[in-house]
Amino acid sequence: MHLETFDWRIHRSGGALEFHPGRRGGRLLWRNQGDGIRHRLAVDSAPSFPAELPEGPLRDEIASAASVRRLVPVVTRRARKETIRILDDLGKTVARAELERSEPIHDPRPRVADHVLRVVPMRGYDEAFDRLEAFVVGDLGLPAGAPGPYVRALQTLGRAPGDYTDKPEFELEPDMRADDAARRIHLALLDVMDANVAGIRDDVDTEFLHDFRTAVRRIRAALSQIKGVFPESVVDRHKEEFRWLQRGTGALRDLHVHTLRLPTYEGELPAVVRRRLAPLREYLRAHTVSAHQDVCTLLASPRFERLDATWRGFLESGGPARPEPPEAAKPAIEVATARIARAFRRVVRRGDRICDSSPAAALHDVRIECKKLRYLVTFFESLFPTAATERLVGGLKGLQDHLGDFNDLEVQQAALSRFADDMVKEGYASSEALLAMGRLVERLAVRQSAERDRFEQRFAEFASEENRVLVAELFGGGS
Amino acid sequence: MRVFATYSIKGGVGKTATAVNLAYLSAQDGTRTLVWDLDPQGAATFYFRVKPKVKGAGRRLIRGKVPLLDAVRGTDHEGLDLVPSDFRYRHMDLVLDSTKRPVRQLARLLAPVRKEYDHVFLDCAPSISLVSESVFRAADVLLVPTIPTTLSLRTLDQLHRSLAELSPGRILVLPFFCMTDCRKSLHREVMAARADAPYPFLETEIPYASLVERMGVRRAPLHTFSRRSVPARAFRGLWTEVKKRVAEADRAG
Repeated sequence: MHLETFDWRIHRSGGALEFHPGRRGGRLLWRNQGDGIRHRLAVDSAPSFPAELPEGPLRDEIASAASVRRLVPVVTRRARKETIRILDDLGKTVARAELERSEPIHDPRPRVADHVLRVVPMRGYDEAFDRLEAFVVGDLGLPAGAPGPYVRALQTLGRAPGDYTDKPEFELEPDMRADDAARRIHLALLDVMDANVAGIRDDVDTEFLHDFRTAVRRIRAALSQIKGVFPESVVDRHKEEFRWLQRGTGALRDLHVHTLRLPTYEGELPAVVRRRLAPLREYLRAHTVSAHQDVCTLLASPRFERLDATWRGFLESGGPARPEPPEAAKPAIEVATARIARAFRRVVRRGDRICDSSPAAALHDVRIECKKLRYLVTFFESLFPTAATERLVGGLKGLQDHLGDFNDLEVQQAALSRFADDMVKEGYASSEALLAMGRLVERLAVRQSAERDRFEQRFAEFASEENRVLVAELFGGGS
Repeated sequence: MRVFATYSIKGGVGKTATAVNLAYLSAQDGTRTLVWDLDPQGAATFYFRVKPKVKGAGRRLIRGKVPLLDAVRGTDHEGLDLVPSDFRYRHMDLVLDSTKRPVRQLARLLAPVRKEYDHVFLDCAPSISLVSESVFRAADVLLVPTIPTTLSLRTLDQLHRSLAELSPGRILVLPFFCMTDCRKSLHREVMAARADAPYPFLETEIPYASLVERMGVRRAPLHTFSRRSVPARAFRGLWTEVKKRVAEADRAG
């Protein structure tokens, strides 16, 4: 049984996680791609989360790759492996070849078994390995570097490692019509959004909702930032619908975030005070259950189905030969450069206006403009030289991370205050819990103030002469 | 990475059997394990069927001119690797002496393999020498197989005094009784007097068993050919207890 997260994190970290059922429980193996087995552990059953495993290097490796995502069997196959050992005159194994016969279990069609020969190197016996490899490729004539049985089994399911990503690449051509480019961008985002619906409904893990909302956010950004390519009525209607979607899922996401954050909060308080947060945990749990039901209702609603179907229908049908919207027929690259240049100017203008006495809301505005710029650059990346866009995004990321932290600290304080109010109203609160939460709020305020002091420097780094010149070159019009 | 060393001033007490069998159990746990056979007799290397030849084993490896990783050989057992012994190790004291800081040298040589292995077992030659001092410095846990005789307890006292003198830092000393014969009254008396020892003995004892000597005929760790025998179970119990004591020491800080 091959275990993976929905977004292929195990594969992306260079590994492969297998569960081999035995008579009593089974074995969990971590393989490094191309290498042999890196970690092995006897377990009672296939784990869903690393926390279910005993402490040790395997748990650490999985946790670092999968983070908060659930491990799910992505394909199951029955395999029989025969090990062929090459021995030296002392009877010592100096090289190994594994002959594996593998069939995917899901397949109801006549079994198609795969036979793969894997030549395994052994430390300190390089010569033997080279000779064995030369024999297999030369004398036996087997092609080297074929995909292993795991990938082949995935292929029978029509899948491949990395076939879902929350960051799709938008492949655009410079002379494409702008509205076709926008359609391509929107479809890719809609696909990401739809891909996460089942995982949200079945409450598999918290990140399905996160990826869903990120896709919705990007769709809304595309709708408002790529102006003049679609009929206004269509745009307005769908802005409204996606805003409804964003709003309807916000509460659950907040609860997820705070639940994930609880261990950090607990860590911030001295040990003797820690357990006083228990009422907060209870409150979060109860509200998460009902918020999840609300989201399920939303996703099952006719309104959502209609939105999905009509929007996809609109995107998949091409635009008319002589479109009405002013920018629609222009070359994509023209529209892209204009929008990006304008977005950059807006970031710089807002940031320039900030001084010590500016309220937090002013930083919030800069943050919003940065996001718009970032989304635009990412949407149209494929039209520009990679090195240049990477540099711009790199600089932008530094500023965005800072503004994000600042905003996040503010949001956390507001949320904790809100929870405290609700907890009192709903009877979850003890004075101890509230005092502990008060301490947390204060610490957050201190950190927020420190973060505020860093704004000037971070902004100056981004709005540097170098970056302005870069933007002017790339997008014809910086400051 | 945690370094275990099987150590005894006397020979023939079961150092190598202990190192090989515990390393095997460690690898079976899923922990990446390396054995370094420091004994020029090369018994551990013999048990693993590896040729006792290391490129540059003499001066170049010990002086750090050849990285330790280059000398590693995979054994027949998954997750378990070996740095084989070489007869030139008989000069190791002299070679260590020629380095800048002889007592820290083994620790220095082990540092680069930290990322590759979680457990390292050093199988030491029976002696008290510069090599042993270097081992004391490099090791986190010292496993001391002790035959229950008066002389053995005496050597344990000597070890205690040497360690105090050398002050190698925090090292966990875990003596345990091995090759015990409950029919011998001397053995029974000595084991009963364990409380007098300078270090707390492990509860598990490894009884004498000719099956352990079969390892030299089979040339493999005990658990590969005799999983349910008395000595096999005893070694498993020993490994469990060692892990427990290590965890306790970690918690105590």
